[in-house]
Formats: sequence, structure tokens, C-alpha cells
Amino acid sequence: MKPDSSQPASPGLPPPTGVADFACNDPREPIEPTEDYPSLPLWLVTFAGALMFWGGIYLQRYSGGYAATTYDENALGSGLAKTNAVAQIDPYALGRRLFADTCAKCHQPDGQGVPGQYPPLVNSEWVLASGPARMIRIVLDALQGPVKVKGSDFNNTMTPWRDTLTDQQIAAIVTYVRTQKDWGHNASPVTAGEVAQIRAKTRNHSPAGPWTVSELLAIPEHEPQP
Amino acid sequence: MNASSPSILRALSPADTEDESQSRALLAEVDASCRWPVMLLFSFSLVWLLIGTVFALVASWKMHAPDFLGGISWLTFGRVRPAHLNAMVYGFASQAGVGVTLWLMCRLCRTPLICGWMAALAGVFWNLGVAIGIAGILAGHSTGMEWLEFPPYATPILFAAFALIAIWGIITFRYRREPHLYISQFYLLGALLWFPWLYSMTQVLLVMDPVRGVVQAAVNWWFAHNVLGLWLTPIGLAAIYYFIPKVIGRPVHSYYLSLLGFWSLALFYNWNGMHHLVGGPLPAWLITVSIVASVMMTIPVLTVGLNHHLTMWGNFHRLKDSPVLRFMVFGGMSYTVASLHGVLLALRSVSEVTHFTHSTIAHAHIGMYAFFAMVMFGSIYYIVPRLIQVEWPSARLIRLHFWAAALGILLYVVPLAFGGVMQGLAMNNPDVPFLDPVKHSVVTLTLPYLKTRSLSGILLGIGHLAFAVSFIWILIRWMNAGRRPKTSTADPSV
Amino acid sequence: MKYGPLIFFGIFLTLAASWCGLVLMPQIQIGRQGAVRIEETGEFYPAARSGVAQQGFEIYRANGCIYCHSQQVRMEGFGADILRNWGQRRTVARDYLNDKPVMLGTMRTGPDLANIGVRQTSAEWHATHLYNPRIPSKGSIMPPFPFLFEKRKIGSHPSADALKLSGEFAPEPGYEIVPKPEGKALVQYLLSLKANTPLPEAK
Repeated sequence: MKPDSSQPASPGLPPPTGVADFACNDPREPIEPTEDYPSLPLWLVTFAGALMFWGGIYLQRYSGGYAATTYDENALGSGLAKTNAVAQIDPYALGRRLFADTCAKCHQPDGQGVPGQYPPLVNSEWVLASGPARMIRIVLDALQGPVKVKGSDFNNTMTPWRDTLTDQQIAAIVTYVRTQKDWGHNASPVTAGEVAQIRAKTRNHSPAGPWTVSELLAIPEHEPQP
Repeated sequence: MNASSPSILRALSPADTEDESQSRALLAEVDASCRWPVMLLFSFSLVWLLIGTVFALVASWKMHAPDFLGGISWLTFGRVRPAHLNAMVYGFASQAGVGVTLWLMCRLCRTPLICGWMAALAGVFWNLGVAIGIAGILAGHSTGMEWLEFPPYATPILFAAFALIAIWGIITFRYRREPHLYISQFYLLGALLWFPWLYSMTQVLLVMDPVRGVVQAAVNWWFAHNVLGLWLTPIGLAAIYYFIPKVIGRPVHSYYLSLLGFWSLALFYNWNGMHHLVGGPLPAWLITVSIVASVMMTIPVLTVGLNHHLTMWGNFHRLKDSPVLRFMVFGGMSYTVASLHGVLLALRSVSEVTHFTHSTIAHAHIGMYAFFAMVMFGSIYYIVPRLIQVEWPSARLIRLHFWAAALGILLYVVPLAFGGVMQGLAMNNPDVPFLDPVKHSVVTLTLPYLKTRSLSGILLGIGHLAFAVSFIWILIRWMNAGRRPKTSTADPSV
Repeated sequence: MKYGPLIFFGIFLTLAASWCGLVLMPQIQIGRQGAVRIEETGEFYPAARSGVAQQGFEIYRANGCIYCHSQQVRMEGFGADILRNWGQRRTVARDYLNDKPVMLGTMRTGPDLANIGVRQTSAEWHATHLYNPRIPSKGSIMPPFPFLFEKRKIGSHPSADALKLSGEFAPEPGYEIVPKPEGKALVQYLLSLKANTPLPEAK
């Protein structure tokens, strides 16, 4: 193929229409495609070079020293990571977020539970007790066995949260549920310190498994202060 | 048609020189030699297109109506979705691609198809492998690795088919009669050599003697991304590079741009794989390398886009009268869009939002459908009449196919890509619950986009049906033409 | 000029280069990682999965759970994975040593499951959720998996692992829904998914 051959459609015939450019052995069909030879545009070559330069810099900076166990791309070669400042968060918002991520799976986003399976939290006597002692214990080590909530019977096994949630997180959740305005709740809030106190006091209970109702009823609603 | 009937050629093409007439005769001989293997491959690819479309519609519907066909184990979403992907990638796209590759290689090497039996046998094996593989996935034997779900009892069959095609490709290239290498041949040679290496290496490292832990993920995405970039993309680009200049009768704008585009693709594309794992449990340098390579892909993409665009410059009016050109230009522009979208998605700050969202799926479909499938449709519409010497029966059906496909894929990808961004932003806001039936939540906000996707699927399905009707009709015409005595072939004014 | 062999070399070298970079290098760097011994408990992490949980792993794979669920926690400050309580630390390569294939997933149509065994320890919840996700999670778009369960006539008393269903989801009186071995295995697998053990490389 000659480099400079550009083959226009045969002159004198109208361009194909509709399905006719599928016509087999169409005489207007050019023989085979060819290529022209203008040189590469300078701007493209410059752009390619600039991009490769950027690529090299990015690669060097964000490869964590090419180390096998450096997962944070912000880590400099020495292994020091850039720390991300932890934003301060409003406890009520934290409680709402944690509730949605954690409790809502069973107790439902609207707190109404599932009849026959998961007890409701809205207007529940266990939630709105004057003191949070029993509720905190339920969140830490869970509840199992027959329980009556708002006159309905439930008999299930809850997930314990002692090993998964911190004192601050449990306090946020319990406060959120006890003070949820949409549910008309107006009970007292809870601090992380109270949770820590109960966590320490009950650390021998958790290996024995979840609380039963009779065990909980033996505990006063208000945690006795030392 | 063969070289012994120059008088008919001369009657049809009075403006041709002797030299050109002989070239036409050779091309006709090439076409005739490709007839059976390529028609076999195209026919089966259409079957898989239709099967894959059914799987797609079922999967898409289940995403917003999860109890639809809920009790049937072999139709559960987690099986139908990979069945769809594999039917489309290996059943439709790869087979159409191989058919186009065979024909393009023969035409560009100016040699008739040699060892056609090899290609036909490969086609039979390929379909057997895909059918067994899909059945295996639906039965629950998926390997669990994305783009590699076919159970181990199906993959050797596919590999054997592939090896036959690759060997055939090298033989044809070796015995080519045209010394100058056209750019499409670079891409096709690349595709034919890259894919079997990728596939066999991956089978060894993931199935036969699996590597341990997350290195599997590295191998998996090295493979999966390269199926797109080193197997399907080169075939699509080879087709666009052939058909655009062919239809408009002008040369490709620049040979040097073509080479730059090919080699920069070869260099950068196959390092992209880890951008599927940004934020994942792999060493930071591995992810960064892939991000850099993904950004570097801007070079081949701009180069190829520029080359295509400058080739078309001054000839856009031809889109009115050539359906093939419409498919090719739509595909070529989609290639640029898909690739630039991909560059964006690979950046860490964007991936933080879009990873794990429906944006990824939208991106995959811009590449696989708006680019590759559209180019395959255009190629098939061009090639088939030349193979079987029969016209497509209805320009209307082809127009319906194009518009249903073009509008369908736009309706698919634009809302879903946007919806994915919304989904990602919500997911990154811990105050938005993941699921809440009443309030704003990550899951519920995606529902309108998922429903729009199902709607687009219906449009795409209509396009595919139009394609199927055209194809079956032309096959029937071909069989009838075989019985009637041969009259003059084309009436160009039809 | 004989371009054929040159092109062949170029094609081969480009793929070989990426194979070396993306497959060989990671294999050299982390392919031989082993479990670590945790000082406080003396146990190894990651621990091998129980037989039933391993069977559940196969069910997870067969039913394509990865197409909607990921199992990887991104680092703090990158996305909201840790803020959503999907893990207390990011996941690293060592967390996946025992998985074949590794179920990292690439979609979060549903939540991440790397620590689902920590967030949801109730086998009963998992069984009910798998039977029909809309029972405990209204509005969920997850598919139901009734074929992992069977409907049985209630014997002298209800089975211990029969699902507690009510309303439209309950079977007709006298019948109960009980998980099949595949269903139980899958639940055990989900309960085994924990990746919170502190590791030095996972800061």
C-alpha cells in the first residue's frame, strides 16, 4: 500500500443509502483502508511527557516505601502515617448513628421491634425505668429467655455488646434511646462513667452468658453509689 | 465469487483499474473462505447475546423486586448475575470478537482463511465450554472469582478453543501476503497473544495451584481488567480503525498516532488491575502503581480518540447514510468516554465515593456495551453480507436496533453512574442509615436508579430482538438463495 | 524491516512486565505470610475455620454473595467504614490467609460483612434473615434463600432451630420452617466473620 494513497469513493455514483452500504461487492466500496503520515502533534507529546512526570512523582510519594505491610498510602517511607484528626461529635448524633447501625437490625429503625421476635423499645418499661442500671446491663451482656415487654411475650437471645462497643458508645446509645423525642421518651441520660462502673462491676457475669429476667429484676433500677 | 470470474467484476466496477479488480477478486475470495467459520461464530454469539439479555433482565428486576422468582435456587441473584456476565463476555463478546478478528486478519493479511477447520472446531469447543460453564454457575459450582466463575470442568474446553484460535492467528500472520502492517493487525495480534497467556496463567495461579490470601485478589483483577483491556478493547479498536476509513473511503489520519496509541495501551493498560481494590487489604504501593497506570491511560485514549476524530473530520455527514458508521462512531466516542470515566474512578478521592457503588457497574457497561458491543454490531452488519452474498432484509430493523441500543445504553449508564455517586456519598455519611424503610437511607435512595436500569434493559432487549430478527431473516434468505440459480448480486439502489 | 518478531516481543514484554509487577512482586512480598500468635490469648490469628463454617463458606461462594457484599474494612478517614461500626480497624492481607477464594467483594448493595460475626451474634437472626430478609429488615432488597430451609410437619414439639415466624411469613399451622444443613452451615460461616484482632500492620 502506497503511503500517500487516499482513495475516495469512485466518482460519479451517489453515496450508498440505507442498507446499501452492506451491498456485497459494492463497486463504490474502497479497496482497503490506508494510513496517512503527518507527524505527531507536539502538544500531545508534551502532554504525555508531563503526565509521565506527574506519574513518577505520585508513585514515589504514595507508595509507602514499597513496603509489604504498609497499607496507608500517606505513610512516608519511614512508616510514619499522617494522623487524621478525630472530629468531635455530638453524643446524641453518635447515639442515633450507632443505634441505626447496631440496634435497628432487630429492634427496627422505628424502635417498634418485630412481634413475636424482637421486643419494642418505644415506651418500653425496661427502657424508661427511672434508673438505667438494668438497661446498661442488657446492652453489655444481652438478655435471653422469656421476657414480657408492654404486655407482650418475647423469648429470644440478644447479641451482647461488651466486647464490641466502648463505654462512650454504649452511653451514647442508651442516652439516645432513653431521650428519643420522636418516641416521646424523656428519661434520664447516661454518662460513659456510669457505663464504665457497671462494666467493671459485672465483668464476672459475662462469661456466664446473657442475663435472664429474674436476674435483672434482682438488681435495683438505680446503681448504688459507692 | 472467485478469481476466475473477472468479467462480472468488471461489469460491476467499471471505474476500477485492473489492479483494483484483482484486489477485489482477492477480497471476495477471502470473504468466501471465511464464510462458514465466521457465520458459525456470529450465529452463536447472537444466541448468547439473547440468553445474556434474559439473565440481565432477571437480575436487574430482582434488584428492586427481590422476591421475583425468589424461591428458585438456580435463579437466585448471586447466580444469575455471574451467568449474565459470563454469557455476555465469553459467549457473546468474545465470539463476535473472534469472528471479527478472523475476517479482519484475513482481509488485512490479504490471505484467505487457512485451516478453516481449526477455527470452526474452536467455535464448537468455545460454545461447549461456555454452555457447560453457565450451567455450572447456575447449579452453584461457581468458583466465586469475578470474571472467572466458570467451574474448573468448563475452563479447559475454553482454553483449548482459544489456543486453536491463537495458533491459527499466528499462522495466518506468518503467511500474510501484505507486507505493510495496518494498525488493526497490531491490535489483533496483541489480542490473540495476550488472552491465552492471561487465561492460562490465571488458571494456574488461582485454580490449579492457588496462591495464598489476597494475592489471589491481585491475580484475579490483573486477569479481569486485562480481559477488558488486552482482549476485548484491542478487537474493538481494530474494528473501528478498519471500518471508519473503509466506509468513508479516506485514510486513517496518522500512522504515527496509531502506533503511539497501540504501544502506550500495551504499556499502561495491563498495570491497571489493582484499581478495583483501592482502599483494600493490599500494600499501598500496589494500589498506587495501578492508579498511576490508570491515569497514564489518558495518553492512549486521547491519541486514539484524536486519530479517529481527525479521520472522521469533514465526513460526519456520512453518518446519515451509513448504519455501520453510526455504530462505529458511537462505539469510538464511547471508548473515549468510558476510558476517561475510568481514569476518574481510579483516583483515590473519587474511589472513596464510588467504590462499591453502582457507578462501577455503569462504568463497566459503558465499556462493554456502549463501546464494544456497538462496535461488534456494526462489524457484523458490515461483514455478513460480504460473507454470504445476501443483503440485509430491512434497513428499518437496523435503524431500530441502533436507536434502541443507543438510547437504551444511555438510559442505563447516565442515571446509574449518577445514582452510584449519590449512593457513595450517602454511604460515606455515617449519619445516613444503611437501610431504613421510611427515612432516607443508602439502599432506598438507589431504588429509582435501579428501576430505570430495568427500563433501559427493556429498550436494549428490543434492540437485540431487532438484531435477531434481521439475522434469522438473512439466514433464511441465504438458504433460499442457495437453491435458486445465481443472478446478479447487489442492486445498489435498494 | 521485519516488524513481526519486534511486535511479538513488544506484546510479550508488556504483559510479562505487568505480571512481574502485579502478580510476582505481591507474591514475593506477602505470599508467604503466616498466622501470628496473639500474646494475650496465646491463640493464632487468623484461626482456621470450623468444618461447618467452611461448608458455609462454600455456600456463600455458590450463591454469589460477593456480588452484593464486600468483606473489607477501609482505613479510618477513607470512607466511613469504621464510623459505621463495620470494624474497629482496617482489614489487611493477614486477615484473608485462610480464604480460598478470597471473598473481598466489590459491591456494597448490602453492608460490609468482614465483622458481621461481631455485630450480629444471633444465629437465629441470621437464619430468619436468610429465609426472607424482609422479616427482620423491612425494605431490604436482598434476595430470599428459602431453598436453604425446609418446611416440616411439627413433631411432638417444635424443633429447637425452627424459625419464629408470624403473619404472612409463617407456614400453615402444624408446620415449621427449619434450616437445612446448608442453611446452618452458612449461618455458622457468617458468625465466624470477625476481623477485629489488633495487628501491628493494621494501624
